[in-house]
Amino acid sequence: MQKYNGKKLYILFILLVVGIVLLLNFQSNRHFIRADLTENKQYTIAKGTRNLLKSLSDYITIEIYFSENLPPQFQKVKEDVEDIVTEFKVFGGKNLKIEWKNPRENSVDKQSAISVGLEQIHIPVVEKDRETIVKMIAGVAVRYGGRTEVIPLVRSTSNFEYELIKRISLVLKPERPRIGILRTENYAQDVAREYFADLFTMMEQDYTVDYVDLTKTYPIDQSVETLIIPGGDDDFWSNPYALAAVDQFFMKGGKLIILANRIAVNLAVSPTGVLQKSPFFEMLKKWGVDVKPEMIADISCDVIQLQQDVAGETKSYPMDYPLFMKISSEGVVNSNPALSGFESMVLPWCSPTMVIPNLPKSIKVDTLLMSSKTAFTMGEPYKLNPRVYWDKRFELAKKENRVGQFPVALHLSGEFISLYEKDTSSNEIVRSTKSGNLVVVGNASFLTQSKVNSIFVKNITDWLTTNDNLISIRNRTFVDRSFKTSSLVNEKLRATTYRVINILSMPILLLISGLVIFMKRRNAQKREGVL
Amino acid sequence: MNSILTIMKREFHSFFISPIAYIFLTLYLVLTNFLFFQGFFIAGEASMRNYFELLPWLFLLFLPAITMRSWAEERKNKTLELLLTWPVKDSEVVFGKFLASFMFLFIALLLSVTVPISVMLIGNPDEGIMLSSYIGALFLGGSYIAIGMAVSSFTENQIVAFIGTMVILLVGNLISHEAVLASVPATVASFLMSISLESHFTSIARGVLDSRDVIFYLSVIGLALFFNTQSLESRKWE
Repeated sequence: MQKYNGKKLYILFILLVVGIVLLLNFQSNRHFIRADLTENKQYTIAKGTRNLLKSLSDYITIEIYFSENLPPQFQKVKEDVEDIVTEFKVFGGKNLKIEWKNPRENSVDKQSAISVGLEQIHIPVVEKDRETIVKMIAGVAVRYGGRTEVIPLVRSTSNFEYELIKRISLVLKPERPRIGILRTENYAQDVAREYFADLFTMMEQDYTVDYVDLTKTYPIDQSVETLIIPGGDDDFWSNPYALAAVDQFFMKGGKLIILANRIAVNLAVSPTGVLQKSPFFEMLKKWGVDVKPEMIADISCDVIQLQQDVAGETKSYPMDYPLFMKISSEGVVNSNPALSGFESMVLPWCSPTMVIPNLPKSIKVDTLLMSSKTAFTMGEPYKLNPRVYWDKRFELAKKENRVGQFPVALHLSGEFISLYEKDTSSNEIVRSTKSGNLVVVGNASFLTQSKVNSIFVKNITDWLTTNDNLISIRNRTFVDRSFKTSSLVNEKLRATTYRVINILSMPILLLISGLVIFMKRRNAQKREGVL
Repeated sequence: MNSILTIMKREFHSFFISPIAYIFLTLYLVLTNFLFFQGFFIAGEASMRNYFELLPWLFLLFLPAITMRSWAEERKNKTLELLLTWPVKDSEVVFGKFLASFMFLFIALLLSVTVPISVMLIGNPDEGIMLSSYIGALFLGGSYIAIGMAVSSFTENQIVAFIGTMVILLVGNLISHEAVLASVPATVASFLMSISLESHFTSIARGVLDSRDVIFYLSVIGLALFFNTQSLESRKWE
């Protein structure tokens, strides 16, 4: 009986210990602290966010909609969202109200979610060994007064802080800012939306976006705060109405982001480049920017996949292509809030974007992006074929003093003079602006190259249009971790050296030290007469 | 405290008496570095993320091999009774042995120092994430060792201890695998993630040292060492 009681007590003791540990873990989930060791403090609420939340003077409601039966990939997202909004609440205080909603089928919450524009997505999940489709909602609505801004779908939290604070910032404004994308190609709006899909999607989250078609609208509506000009060839810019519309939009206070294609690339047969000579480039010179009739080749470059027929079989192999210049950390001017922490971009077929000599003092210039220091320029005829000896071209450029670091994106602000300052045909012409804002990039095709490139344009747009510093929060997740530039020919040698050193050095050192210790012990034992 | 340190030194010393420790460390370093550098230059990213993604699975293979001998061998050689006749508490013996294995793990991780140095020479990695991942690896490895020791304390057969530990750790890792989580209800999935050894490591390895993860690992280590001590205590019942 005594033994039985002892065993019972013992089991009770073990259960008690396990219970205490479980309770400790349960409590730790409710009250926790964390140290963010990442370089850019990716998991810490940014100063800009804290300041905006502290400055709230009226009630704002954040409604978080997460369906009940979330697939596993969304479970973690939900937990992370909870962590982030908990921190938002700390800084927002009583003026920030957080409401968790459960949009289950036929519920009021679901109707509310759909009515504000949250996405209902269909996710395949495996249930009882069968794949079924689950309908779910994972989004956020921010409400203030009669206005609502939404994050339609939260797929990951890598950028959630920015998305949420941006919604709070937007909902506080009386109406959404308006931006424009100029129709420079022969695309209808729906085709353009497809072509610049990333850009349109990103812009429409924060702005009312106009696709400005000069054949239908003239002049450009001045309620558009920032106009993006994605290239345009000689055909487009030889139209005097196009030039005049852009010039006058700028002179009347509109902000411009010009992606200038100085060299039009034709990939139809063999890759060729055609220099563009329209008056558009004269207009840019008038405003202080000279997009040079040259193309930059950079040793710091992206890799392209080339197709080759080998024994009747098409194989693709990677190749460094210096005309796809890679902008790394050394080429990004981080002092600009739009670029703070932003370190990676690929610009294809880009031209140097220089400031004209004798630039008026009333214009202030900031360089935004630069090539690496191992770049060189190429003039006409533009040889774009990737299958050439780039290292030999580089050596030749070195001899001819064409190697250097070239600006490829500039921001200019201040007083600008109109291209039509001397035109006396009309009194309505505005001949100058005192507070112009202009960004020029030496290429336009980069826009469709990758999502990161569209993010660059979005950041610049945010910076020019809203003039807030929230952009720097988003950039924290886009830090370039690519390898430092090295010579193209040495790449393989470098990889082999590092591999060999890492795989063999420590094990050899370890085996040698083991052998030395073993010999010493053996000698000592011999001396002591053990052996 | 002195007793714990004495036992720790004795155990730690015993690792390096035979060539097994050197062979073990050599194999571990060659395998991890080889696997990591297989894809490193193709990915072109100065980060050790792939290295730390390998660790939970490599630890699964290597750490049970260290812990399988901790008690099983003592039982087999009948030295356990001798050890426990020392004027020290059972818990001190357990903790001393744990610290010795933990030190061994620490040295194994320390010897991988060429990898972060290489990554830093090649590019611009996030050093904070690397540091955090190493801390996470110590917590993860520590919990593997504690579980392995507890399993070893229940058997005198080293193979049984090795396989038993591997199975427990494998389950502990797999429960947060997407395929498993997808086949259970959401509440169960959430619970499984919270008790998975790997998901807490992933959380630390992204660069955040969270008290929830630290408390989880300390709890696992504490509980395993507690069961280990109770297993030794149970000999008094006989």
